[in-house]
Amino acid sequence: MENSKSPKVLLVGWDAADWKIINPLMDKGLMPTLERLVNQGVMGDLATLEPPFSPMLWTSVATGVRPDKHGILGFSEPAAGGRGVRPVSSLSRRVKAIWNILTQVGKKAHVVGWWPSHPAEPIDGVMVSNHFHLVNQAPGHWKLPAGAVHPPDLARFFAELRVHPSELSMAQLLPFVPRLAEIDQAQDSRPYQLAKILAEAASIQNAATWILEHQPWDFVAVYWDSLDHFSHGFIDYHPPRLPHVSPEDFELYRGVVEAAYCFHDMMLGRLLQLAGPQVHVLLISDHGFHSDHLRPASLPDEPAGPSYQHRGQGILCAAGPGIRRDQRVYGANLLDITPTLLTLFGLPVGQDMEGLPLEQIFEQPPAIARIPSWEQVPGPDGRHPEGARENTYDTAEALEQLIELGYIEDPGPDLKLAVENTLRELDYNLARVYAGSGRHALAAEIFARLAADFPDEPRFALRLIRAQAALGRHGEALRAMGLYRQNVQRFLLSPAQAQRMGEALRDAGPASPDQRDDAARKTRRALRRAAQEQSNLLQIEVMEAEILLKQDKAEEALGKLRHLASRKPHGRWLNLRLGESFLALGRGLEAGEAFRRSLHADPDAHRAWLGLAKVELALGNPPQAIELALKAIGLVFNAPHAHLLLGKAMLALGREAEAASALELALALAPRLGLARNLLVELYEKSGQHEKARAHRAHFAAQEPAPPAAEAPAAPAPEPTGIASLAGLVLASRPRVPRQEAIVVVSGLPRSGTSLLMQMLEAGGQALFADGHRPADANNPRGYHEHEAAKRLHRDKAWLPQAQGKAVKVILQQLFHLPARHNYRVLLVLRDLREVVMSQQRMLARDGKLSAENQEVYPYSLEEAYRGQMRRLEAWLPTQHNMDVLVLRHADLLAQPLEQARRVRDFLRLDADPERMAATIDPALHREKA
Amino acid sequence: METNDIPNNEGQEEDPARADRLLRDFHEHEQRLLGPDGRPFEVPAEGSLGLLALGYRGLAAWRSAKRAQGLAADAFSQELAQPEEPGS
Repeated sequence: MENSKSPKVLLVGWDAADWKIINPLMDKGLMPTLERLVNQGVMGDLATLEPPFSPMLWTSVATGVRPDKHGILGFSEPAAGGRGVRPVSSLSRRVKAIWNILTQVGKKAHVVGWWPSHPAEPIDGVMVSNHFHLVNQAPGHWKLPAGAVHPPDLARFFAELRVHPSELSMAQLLPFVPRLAEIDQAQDSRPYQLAKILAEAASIQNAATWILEHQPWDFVAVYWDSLDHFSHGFIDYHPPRLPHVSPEDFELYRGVVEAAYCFHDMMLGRLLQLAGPQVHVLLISDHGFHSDHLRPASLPDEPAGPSYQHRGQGILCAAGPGIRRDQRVYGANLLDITPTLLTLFGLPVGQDMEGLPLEQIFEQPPAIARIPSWEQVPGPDGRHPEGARENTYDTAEALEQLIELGYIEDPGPDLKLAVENTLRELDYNLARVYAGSGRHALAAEIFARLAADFPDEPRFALRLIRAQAALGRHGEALRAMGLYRQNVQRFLLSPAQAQRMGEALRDAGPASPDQRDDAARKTRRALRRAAQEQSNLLQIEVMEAEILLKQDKAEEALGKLRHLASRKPHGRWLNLRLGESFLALGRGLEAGEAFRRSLHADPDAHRAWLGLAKVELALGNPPQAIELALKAIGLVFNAPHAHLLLGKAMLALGREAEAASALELALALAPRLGLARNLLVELYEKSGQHEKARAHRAHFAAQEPAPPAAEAPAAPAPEPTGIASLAGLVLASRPRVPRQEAIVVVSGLPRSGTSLLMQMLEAGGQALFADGHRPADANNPRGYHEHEAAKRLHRDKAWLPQAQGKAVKVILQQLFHLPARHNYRVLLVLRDLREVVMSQQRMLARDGKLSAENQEVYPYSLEEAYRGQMRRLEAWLPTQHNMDVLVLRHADLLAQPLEQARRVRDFLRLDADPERMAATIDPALHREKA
Repeated sequence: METNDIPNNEGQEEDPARADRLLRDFHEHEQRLLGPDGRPFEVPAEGSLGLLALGYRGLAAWRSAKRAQGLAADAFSQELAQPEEPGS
């Protein structure tokens, strides 16, 4: 990387900027600065995070971690001292931001407007907080909030760099609204709203330009909230006209959003001019903004409801020394920005950061150093002193406690309600963070509490249902759906009621944006709620169908979806699910039709393109499948399953090198995608590339966490089960193949409790692959649940496809013979080896296969042999890319049957009653004890 | 319902003279802009979007132009209906 000794980096944040709006403007030559930047550097999508709320997202950008780690969980937070709530502040951030790290290493960093950065932090540079530019007072009374500028001796000067909307003239507004003069501003406040956003944007530009001209700098970060505000206010007037927008309003305000982007391009031009050449520039947005037919017609009545206008893909543009030119890059997300900035500065990336440096933007692969965590690095970092930082939750809880104890006066119902509402939102957002990062159990716990506490709020129950479904708790999800249906009845309106209310509104005249008529507002709200609930009920029905699909009831799922489609034939999600159901049933042609209908509603639905690709591959048309998979990848590159399908199609055509490349890419995006690794192992073995095959086989050995080291083990006793590191470990974090495709393997040494586990599975509704050939006897009074085929696994594997979706007993010694081409969920039972050996001895004796003499001799050599096999298993199992493993202890099964039954249920995602499963365990049958 | 109880660094102004100096430069000196041809650029009193995009120099030049014509900072405020902000 050139210039790596003293790089300068300008990071520009445009909240909500979207390529869908920018690209046509660049094509028309209306955003020349950005076009130049794109041509000189790289551009791509930047995937947002869940939930797409800007203070949380921009803090993730600046820290490289998700909100549950950085602590910014919403728009507002309880104020210290119980005096209500306040906008979210920099005091709640629990980790260092990039400017703190740079301050620590002696770099000059300046920050303008970042959300949230108030109060400004005492870094070794200028920080202008996100309260600096906000217009909330009349001119003459417009004070700069305390703490808005660091260092404080610049505050009085910076106050003068702010622009109040009262300063603006028509000359500045006409580019946005050419027919401004025709608007009766006494009735329409939109021109003032526009002027306010424009003035605030200009204030940020003034602060940034002054800093660039007058301060030495290594890093400058400037953030504008204005494109987000312009878009929320005016995107509905953006062409093409939406049905609910009047032609008059459309004509007046149709150009506002485009003009806003052009103005930002002009500001960017000035920043780049002042920054000078040889500077690294990163321009990013935290999410996109729907600007086409996907603009929602109405927004849900909930806090942060406008976020439903956000699109999942923001923008990324990077240029500068060592950065590739005129290239498109893929696969970036917000968490990658801080690691990338650190890499640009030649600084190590924290291993506790959740993103990765964007290596793909560099001409040459950069050297990437790592440290465990920047949090452990001591020294002045420009954060507020420890005492000033606080944890919002702790503050609120402490407050509650003090009120209860009588140390603080109860702030009264309104203030308390405000604090309670804020805490509810913070909880909800935290649960969404969990759900958005695959931690559904944690999410479900919070959603369940919120749904119980706030039964009138549909969002909590809906998200709880989704989390339960994601966890495979289908019974619970279905019960929650039933409850939801009951709860919403009171919000639904009959067609006659809705018509009457609509007519009443029409009679009351058109709604102005300043509508303050309470009755009309209530009527509108009731109508909106009824429409929203209808849509929610439809979602629930689609989710029900998804559950049926997961329960291998594809026919039922299909019936339900077809019924729904008859009511809403053009729903993009509905048709997508319909296509996936047809696909699961092997009905490719109908699947294709459904996917095409989904694409008609949304041509950018990458999953529908992928679905079509699967159809073509299933129909034996790999070239067409390749084309469609590439289309899906072009829309969303960060989609490992699309690369996997591309690899499969390439394999089908014998294009092995390209297949390997696609499969490697799938694994780069999702290193735990077992099927891709499977195919690669086979491909490399077949083509004689044994080293590569071995590397893939060994991959997971390096991935799995090391077993926790015991503290100073003086003389460790041998682990009674023969395996120490695997005991209790769940190697189940790899992405799952559908249940019907995986083979459930129940394994262990003979007499370790595998039959018992098979009984438990049967009680849980898991289909078994057993032939009943070996009858129950005195050794196993409830039967063996074996299949003869499994006993010859070492020489015959042809039967395995018949076991897909079923549970089969495979003794531990045969596990090593399971072929890599299938996926397995292994339930491994460990039992004290002495008990195993003694039980085997008794069994042989009962069957008359052991002489009376030998019955008295304990076979230590056998125990040692088993111990050796267990050690081999211990080393081998974590390297198996195609196996999810749940380890159970025989002793635990007997001592805590219910708890273990729940583990099994969750691992296999059974829709089962754990008590019924646990009831199969009879401790009386535990006859051999060590 | 919001409060502003956030700790601040008010009163920690280390160098009051610095702000005074900067403000004097900003307010009192005639602010001139040069056009792309290198000649002084005539700044219109009603301002422009380009001046806003230019940043603090554009703002200074625009305010300076208004002062030169004897206009108040909010001379054009009647062109835009102002809502009642707190403090008005």
